[in-house]
Amino acid sequence: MRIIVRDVNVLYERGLPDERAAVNGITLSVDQGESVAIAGPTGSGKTSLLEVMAGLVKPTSGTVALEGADGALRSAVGLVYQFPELQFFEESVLDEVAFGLRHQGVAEEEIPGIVGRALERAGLDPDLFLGRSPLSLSAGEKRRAALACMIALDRPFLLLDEPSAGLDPAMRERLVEFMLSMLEEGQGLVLVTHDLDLADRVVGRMIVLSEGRIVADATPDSIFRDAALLERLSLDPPPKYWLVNRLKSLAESKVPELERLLLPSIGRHLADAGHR
Amino acid sequence: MIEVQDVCLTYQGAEAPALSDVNLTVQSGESVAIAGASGSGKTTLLRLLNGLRLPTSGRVVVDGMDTANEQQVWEIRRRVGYIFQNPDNQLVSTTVEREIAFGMENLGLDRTEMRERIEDTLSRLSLESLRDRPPHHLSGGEKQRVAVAAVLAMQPAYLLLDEPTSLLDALGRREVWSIIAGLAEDSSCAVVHVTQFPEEVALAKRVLVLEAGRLVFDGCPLDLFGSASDLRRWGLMRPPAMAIADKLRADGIAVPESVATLDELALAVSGDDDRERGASA
Repeated sequence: MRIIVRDVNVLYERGLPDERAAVNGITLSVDQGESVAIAGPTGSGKTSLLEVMAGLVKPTSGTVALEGADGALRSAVGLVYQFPELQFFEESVLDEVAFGLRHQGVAEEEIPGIVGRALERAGLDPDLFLGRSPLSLSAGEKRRAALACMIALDRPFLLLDEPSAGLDPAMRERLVEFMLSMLEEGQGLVLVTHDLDLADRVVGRMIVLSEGRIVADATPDSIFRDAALLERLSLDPPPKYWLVNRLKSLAESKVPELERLLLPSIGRHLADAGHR
Repeated sequence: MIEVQDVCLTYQGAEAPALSDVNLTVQSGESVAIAGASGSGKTTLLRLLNGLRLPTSGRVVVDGMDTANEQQVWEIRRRVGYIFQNPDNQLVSTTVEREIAFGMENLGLDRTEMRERIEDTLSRLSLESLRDRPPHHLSGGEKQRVAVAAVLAMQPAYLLLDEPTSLLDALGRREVWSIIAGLAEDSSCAVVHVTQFPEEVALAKRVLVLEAGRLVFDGCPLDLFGSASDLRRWGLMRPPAMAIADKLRADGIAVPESVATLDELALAVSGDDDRERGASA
């Protein structure tokens, strides 16, 4: 199964004085089982591209399609928004996570089990959270609850918009574990993130956007070593790459040793396998 | 001075308290970071400091005024400014200038005074070139700068920021960081900010750590990051520079214990290089 985006443009405020192109002629495909990070400065079109891939925003021109499966793109893709506080409306976390399941006609007796497992995978203890109001959760807990809503639906592709924003370091580790387990199970993962250290640990392919265009589509490793590209787009690579890149200008002779000690990173075992 | 005295807070319907027996004092002009795991009470504590929330028991006193006293709540809010995590939730105007004027209008300032303060604030936060732009069309870092500008124009004695960088890209984070660092130098306004980023905690002078609603640490970052077992229990991590320095030390590269930032680490590692060159010359 594969999501195919062809020659897509997305214009906002079309025909108005402040018309702007969020996505500017993008073509790409993502396979199920692949893990991709979309990076780029604020306003470079990352979220718009993600919404196009989820079938939630109709491109102004161009097409997006699901290849290799019957059924609609929208039912193959789950998108977790960047601002989960805007999406909750049920009275309890249980009902919130169950909403999509009920909408799909899942039998009521199966729902508590599915919801409980989804919460656990997202890093929330069902015993503590099932009865809580989603609006009473902390920012990091809301983010995990929103993730649980999509885990419960078990779609072939999971699209995450800034999944680590506002998570504490321990929760961020659990998120990494969850994403790696998803990939092991053969799901597709696309994440939009400023957290390039997270991307380094999870994805095998990185797409860099600038002004709605793809300016790089390569392995994270090769992008993180490209100091000129990072500088031009004000992107901060993972700390170890930042250090090595900085030493290239400070003390060139130290670079080979530090590259050897730091750069063949831990936790990349799945990343390379995930890259086509 | 803001005094938090024996404060407990339990949200309606919650079994466990969000804050228990918290005592602390924030002095005028001070710069303080609040860290702790998700759900540990960081935002709740911040909201108590300007009376957005009231304690279930105990008192919060701002410059002698109890936040529970309704008569004084406006004066407290004037003195204690609040920046939300997502600037989209607090920007209301059609241009940057009007956004900055909004709070001052509510204070009833005269026009000359407002004009002066707008110009001062625009220049202080390098927003002159954006003055006529609609705030909702700016980048995340710019929006956050406008939100801070609008609050600073009201000349608060204390500024509270709830994870002001968590939704920003690298550039925006640097923008907001230079503001926080600038305010920390300038003793006219105390700054209290909540953060999840260990590298931001490392830059603070004083750090408060919350664990399940209790204040478990109040001290300097170097002492905090010295204790690995406590950090794990509190859901915190050492800054990446310190973790990388540990790895390099384990591999036989000399790195001073005082290194806390990547810049310092790069200099420490390259400085070693210079000495070697000097020795071989």
